[in-house]
Amino acid sequence: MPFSMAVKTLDYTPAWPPYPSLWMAGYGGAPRGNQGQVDRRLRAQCVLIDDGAGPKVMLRIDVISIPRYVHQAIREAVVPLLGNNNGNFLIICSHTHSGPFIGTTRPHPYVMMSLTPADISAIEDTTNVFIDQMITLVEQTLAMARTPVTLWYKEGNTTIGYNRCDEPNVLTTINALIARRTSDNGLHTVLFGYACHAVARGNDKTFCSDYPGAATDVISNALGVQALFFQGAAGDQEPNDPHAPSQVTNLGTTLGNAVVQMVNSGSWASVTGPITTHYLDLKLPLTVDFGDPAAVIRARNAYNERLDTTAPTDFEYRHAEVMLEQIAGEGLPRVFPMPVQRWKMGGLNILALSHEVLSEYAVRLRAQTAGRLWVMAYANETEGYVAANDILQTGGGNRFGYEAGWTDDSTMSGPGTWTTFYPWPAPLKFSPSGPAAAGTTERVLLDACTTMLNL
Amino acid sequence: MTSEYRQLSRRTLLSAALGGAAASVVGHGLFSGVASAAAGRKTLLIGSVDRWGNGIVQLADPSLNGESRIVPVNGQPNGIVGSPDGLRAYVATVFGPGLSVVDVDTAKVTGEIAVGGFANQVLTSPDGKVIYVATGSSGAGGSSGHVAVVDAATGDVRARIKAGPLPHTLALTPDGTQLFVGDERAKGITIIDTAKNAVAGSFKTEKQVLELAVDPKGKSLYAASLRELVTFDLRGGKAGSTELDGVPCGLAVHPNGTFAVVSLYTGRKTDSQLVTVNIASNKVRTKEPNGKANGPLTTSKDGDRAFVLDKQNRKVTSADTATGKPDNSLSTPNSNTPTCVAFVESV
Repeated sequence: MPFSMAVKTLDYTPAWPPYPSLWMAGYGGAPRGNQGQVDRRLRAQCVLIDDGAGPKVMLRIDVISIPRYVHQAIREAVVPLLGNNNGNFLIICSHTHSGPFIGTTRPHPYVMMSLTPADISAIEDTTNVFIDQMITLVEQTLAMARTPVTLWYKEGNTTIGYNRCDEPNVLTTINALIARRTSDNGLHTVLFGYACHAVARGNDKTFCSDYPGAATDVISNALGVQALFFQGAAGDQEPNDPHAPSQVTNLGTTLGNAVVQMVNSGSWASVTGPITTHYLDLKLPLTVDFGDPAAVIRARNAYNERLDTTAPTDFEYRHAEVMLEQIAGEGLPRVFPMPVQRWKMGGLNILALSHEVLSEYAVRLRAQTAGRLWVMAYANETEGYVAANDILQTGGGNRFGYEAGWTDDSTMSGPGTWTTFYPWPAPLKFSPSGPAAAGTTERVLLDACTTMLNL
Repeated sequence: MTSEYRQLSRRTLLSAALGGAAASVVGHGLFSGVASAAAGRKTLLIGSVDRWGNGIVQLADPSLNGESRIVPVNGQPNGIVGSPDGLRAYVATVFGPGLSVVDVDTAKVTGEIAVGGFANQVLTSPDGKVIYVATGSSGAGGSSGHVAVVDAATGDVRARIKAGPLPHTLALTPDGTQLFVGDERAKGITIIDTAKNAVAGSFKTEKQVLELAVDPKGKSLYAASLRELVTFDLRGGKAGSTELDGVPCGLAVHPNGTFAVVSLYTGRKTDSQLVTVNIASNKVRTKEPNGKANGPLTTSKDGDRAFVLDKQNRKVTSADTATGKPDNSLSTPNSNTPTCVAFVESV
């Protein structure tokens, strides 16, 4: 089927000016401000695919995550340009832990780095610059001349990491989608996906697109076209040790070379189209219904107690302060929003999940879906981890509850878990024993995905 | 409003850049440089960080009077220890490379060692030939840490030992054969055989371990937890406990092995405490209010003085360990937040 495509890459590596502040995201425990050091530059890339029924746009960004309000600000500006169809616009973050801090809600700069209100305002100013740049990039891509192309997809395999939760799933599949010019069948663009936390560099103050950026460079240099990375369900997928600047090149080269080898060999399946898109704003339940005033009082008492039994320098102390501020102000959240999106491209399905989704979801959804299914994560917005029921059940029993979000008490955020850094008052709802029951996180999410994939 | 914040941000960037420049001149591979100092020179080493994440080590007189010397280091210091000869300080930092070596005499960084970021407590072997660094943090985005074993002469990392997900606190037996590791989150302690650089065992504790220390005779391990100081034998058998009034944030044992010193956070509305505990009887020996000084602590080599960090008021306080009463304080420069403290005496 004939498609047309436009692709634009923006090197948005923050610098002052125009960025008002250069605070970095990804790691907590100390103020982390970039001072101009850049290793591998940060890209925002926009790809437009038109199947004759109007453009579908994917915006991929070398950034750790964007919170809900930032996602919505970009979406509200872009979707009117795409026929007011939410499904036609998709954002994917690479999850590099060596990029700018975008947004001031989840993760929370005060909890992460103990920043002052003035510095947090500076992050807000930076966020506004970022939002403007992303919207402009999409607008410019939409205005570009489109190249008639054919689309092809294929899966490959390589291993650059492991499952840090000691679960059996190690995601090694490479998903690749290429565009070839209709005019001469020449290679036009490479999109490639892999699921692994972009933390190979480790903790320093240097901007770096981590292994996805290194792999992109390898592919672009070898094939002479733009390459675009999309992240998978990497919530529990960790790159091989050690985490050091040299590891970025090592792992990125491994992945990039594997993609180049795929492109240079056969067995590509044709995307037959048309492209159909769907978008759903799912609401996942928390373990506690904070619509119940008694539950709010219990939370207030518990977080007040935490302030007297935790050292003031600990993450959970600052988290408790944020929770008490919310209780006194706008109130505690009652649900965990989770946008889910599907692009069906003939025999290829792309399911884009928001947040830090653990690999179990990708494995199960692929197993139950006829045809090819690629699961993206860190899509549209990222405000926490989404684990399967067994991890949620285990709580502090697995890695002190980091991915579960709780440790000893499932009615409140576990110290040092994801619900601390992305401040939530309680973890996601789960079945305390046995398989996931109706109305719990795993069931709600899998049912919604299944329904969407059957549309 | 916006322009005011932007102005602030420019200052932020400028200061950060200056801090970075200071750190960037640090050389590598200078671990065995000749250092010398008069015997008996005593120095208090205070690690601190400014609001932009630039770290320094302040070399102060233990009297807390007189001028301090300042050494910029690469990122926020999280742990600090002096070499047994008192000539060097090893500074564990949140950002990579993770370990800086400071010549105490010249007040210069002489090397950086890539142990990985999120470095926490740091210790040296009794002979000073090996440095142990605990790395890991729940702020590491879900990544795990390790205990790095570093050759002090060459700066080579001999081993990275997986000793729990987030190694945080360390204690070493006086003969240097057993290293005890407390995790940032675990209710338990891991034991490392230092001859093999391998985990030799572990045991559970009732509460999360916040601080660790071994007595100078090498018979007991002390683990400070919420409202409790627990005594274990070196195989993990519980031998006693002492009730405390809050959250221990610093722990040291007097060189004569008779008492432990603990700094306590006791809540938002009450003063912090400096407590000494009779180790033999498991009874509180002294308990004195200490303002907001509830951070890490160290003692002088003779154990007569204790030094406790006050992160809120950005200073270090000193006290006579016989009475436990605070008697002096020293502010950190540039309103830095103090993060770690150690005492060295040259031999």
